[in-house]
Amino acid sequence: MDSRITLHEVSKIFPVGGMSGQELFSTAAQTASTGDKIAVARVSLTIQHGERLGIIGRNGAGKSTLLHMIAGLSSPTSGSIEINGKVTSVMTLGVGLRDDLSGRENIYVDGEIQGKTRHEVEQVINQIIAFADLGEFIDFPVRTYSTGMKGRLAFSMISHIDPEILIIDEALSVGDATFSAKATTRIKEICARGKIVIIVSHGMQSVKDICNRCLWMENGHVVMDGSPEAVTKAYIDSVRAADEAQLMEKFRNFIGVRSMQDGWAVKQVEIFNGEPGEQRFLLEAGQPTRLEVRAVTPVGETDSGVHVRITRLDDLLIFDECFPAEAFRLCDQSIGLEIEMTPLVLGSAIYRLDVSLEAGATVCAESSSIFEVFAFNPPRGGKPMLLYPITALAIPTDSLDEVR
Amino acid sequence: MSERQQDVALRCVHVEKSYPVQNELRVWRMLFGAEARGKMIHALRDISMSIPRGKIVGILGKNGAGKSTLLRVLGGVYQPTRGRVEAHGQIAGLFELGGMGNPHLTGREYATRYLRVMGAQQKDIPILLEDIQEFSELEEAFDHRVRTYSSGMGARLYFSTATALQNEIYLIDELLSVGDEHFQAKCWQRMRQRLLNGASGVLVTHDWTAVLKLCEQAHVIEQGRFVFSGPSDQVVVSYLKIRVPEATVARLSSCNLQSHVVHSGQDANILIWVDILEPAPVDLAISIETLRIGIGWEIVLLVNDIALAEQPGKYAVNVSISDLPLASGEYSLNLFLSRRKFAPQDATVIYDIRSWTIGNGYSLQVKGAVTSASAKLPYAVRRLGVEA
Repeated sequence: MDSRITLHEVSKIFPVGGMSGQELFSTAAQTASTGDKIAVARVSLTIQHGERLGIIGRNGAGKSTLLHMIAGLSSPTSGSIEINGKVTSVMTLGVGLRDDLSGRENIYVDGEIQGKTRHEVEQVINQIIAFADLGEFIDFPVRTYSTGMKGRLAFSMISHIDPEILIIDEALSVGDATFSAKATTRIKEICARGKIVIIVSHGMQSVKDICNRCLWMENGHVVMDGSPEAVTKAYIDSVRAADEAQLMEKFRNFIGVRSMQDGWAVKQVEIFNGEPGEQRFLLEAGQPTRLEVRAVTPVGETDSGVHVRITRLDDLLIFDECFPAEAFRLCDQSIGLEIEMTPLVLGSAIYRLDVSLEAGATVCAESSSIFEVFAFNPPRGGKPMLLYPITALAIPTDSLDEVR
Repeated sequence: MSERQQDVALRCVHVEKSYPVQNELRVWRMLFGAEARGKMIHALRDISMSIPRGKIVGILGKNGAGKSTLLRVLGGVYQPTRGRVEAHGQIAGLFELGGMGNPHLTGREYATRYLRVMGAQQKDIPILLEDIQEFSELEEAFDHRVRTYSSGMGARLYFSTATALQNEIYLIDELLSVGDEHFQAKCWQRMRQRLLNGASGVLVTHDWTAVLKLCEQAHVIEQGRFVFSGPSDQVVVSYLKIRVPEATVARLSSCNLQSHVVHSGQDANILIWVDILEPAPVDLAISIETLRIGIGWEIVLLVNDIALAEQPGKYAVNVSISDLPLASGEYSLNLFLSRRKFAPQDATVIYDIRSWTIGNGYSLQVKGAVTSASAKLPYAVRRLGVEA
């Protein structure tokens, strides 16, 4: 029979309490007054055979709680879970391993726990050992293993006992790149045989690589359920928006607009980043970036200028240019200019953007804002001020003999 | 006070510190005033140095080299076994800050107590507390108990409190590496400001970049001894002890120019000669760094994994940077030849290095008008609504 998991209105509520006296009134007062912690709130879900479900979300979103309930490690406060198939779970890789036994002995012990006979284990043990690729360590006690090695052994064990429903919590983050690739292939093989795999991960790439369905959880609710591409993109966008809000909140003292003289005002400063170009405070390095400034200055003031400065948070002035305001006067008599950096070459850091309107040396109006630059693939070995391409072309000139 | 003493904020002369480690009957021997006996640890041996007024001297060392012991001896927490320490001014120790407070105090109570101990005037305390609350960004948590703080919040409280008063001598232990990037930047600014107001200090750390940024002079400490002293860049070279590769597979030719000249904002082309002696996939990494000792060190450009060649031969390598985004000035040009990595976990094999960190870097002079900005970013500007 095909595997299938059905969740109906599943909730999990943890009572908050157990704190005593003064503590309850001071630090814990906030949580206690709002009642118990709702970890999973009325989640209904059907998982069919062949589905590789990835669950993503911030810490505390309820991902692990949901997984624990499906694995039968805890029961829901309300609602029902129906499972067709035998569940094998790896909540924390390596936890089930017995430290004083060797890797090989652990495989036998685990096989028996999974209800396999010694003969059945012996049929697959060589595959397991080969897959884990631990070399001579397979006969050493598990306590001598690194975290990554334990993870490899545990994954090899569970993935070779023909699981029907496999649940993995953050497992693939251990092990190196080569092993992760092998594990991904293995998970796909398991799914191809009509089984179910559920993983919880913080790595968006691994969810995209492994899964064919993705669930985004927030505060115990399912926010989105769909293809890994769509859900991970929506999730990353939401995280970025939340990070931007946090950035703005943290630096609110730096942000502001002032007019010191009548008839002068910085009306709007906006930064657009990426294709097609959304207004952003969190900018991706290497993307086309455009800065739009709208301002008002008295018409005919010939020595008025728009002064744009970008200062890294540790007070390193990186961009400092002054543009004559009259050259950027629009039909409606206001000033509008755009500065384009294609691509953005600033390195990862937080920056302050100051735009001031000046008459000669007098500042008549100014505006300050904050933005942050991040890079997906920063160079190894340092954090450069600028992410700027350098190319090198080697032209052979002589034979080696002449070098010597 | 002699002329000489006015120039020196803190001096230590032939300082030694040793402790007994085996504690057989040690308490009894101490009680009866007998000499400690048994195995001794010599944490400091014959340390002499002086800290000029208005300067921070760096002390670089690995864990267990005696850095923290030295700082405590300078701060008067430990008595030196031999030698003497002379301080000309009030010392603020920025070490083990968490250890001195009662965690049941609130941040405000902790700061008040610290300020009183440091002799702040009663009338100044409210203003200083306001400054501490603002600088530490603890907001309402300032009135919560210290034990509810995360380590980052604790570090922010301790730093803000210890630097609220303009002291004469600061003893700093790794402190500037706490908190997030933003808070670190604030710490640097505050230390610079205190220095400008004439403060002096000692910074002990294993972070050589901090020494480059804050100190003109530094020492390397190893097993309780100063093994190298001098200008910070030379000290870093001595501390890092990067082995100069033997360059048997590929090498940066000795006929390369030691100094290259390029122009700000224009396409830059730098010619480098590379010899490949044995067949190998050779990659080039390039970094361009500013090195203004005691003011700043900054990697301006860094690119790695540039594929060069595989076959033996003499190569002319044209390094090009279009619209050079560097402001005019002196830079250090560092080149690294290494074996290409086909997968992230491949071992790093370095064939040859030219870098200031081993004292053999090339210099790069960028010509151009002197600018206020530290870079020359390429950009286009136009009137809004006008298509490119």
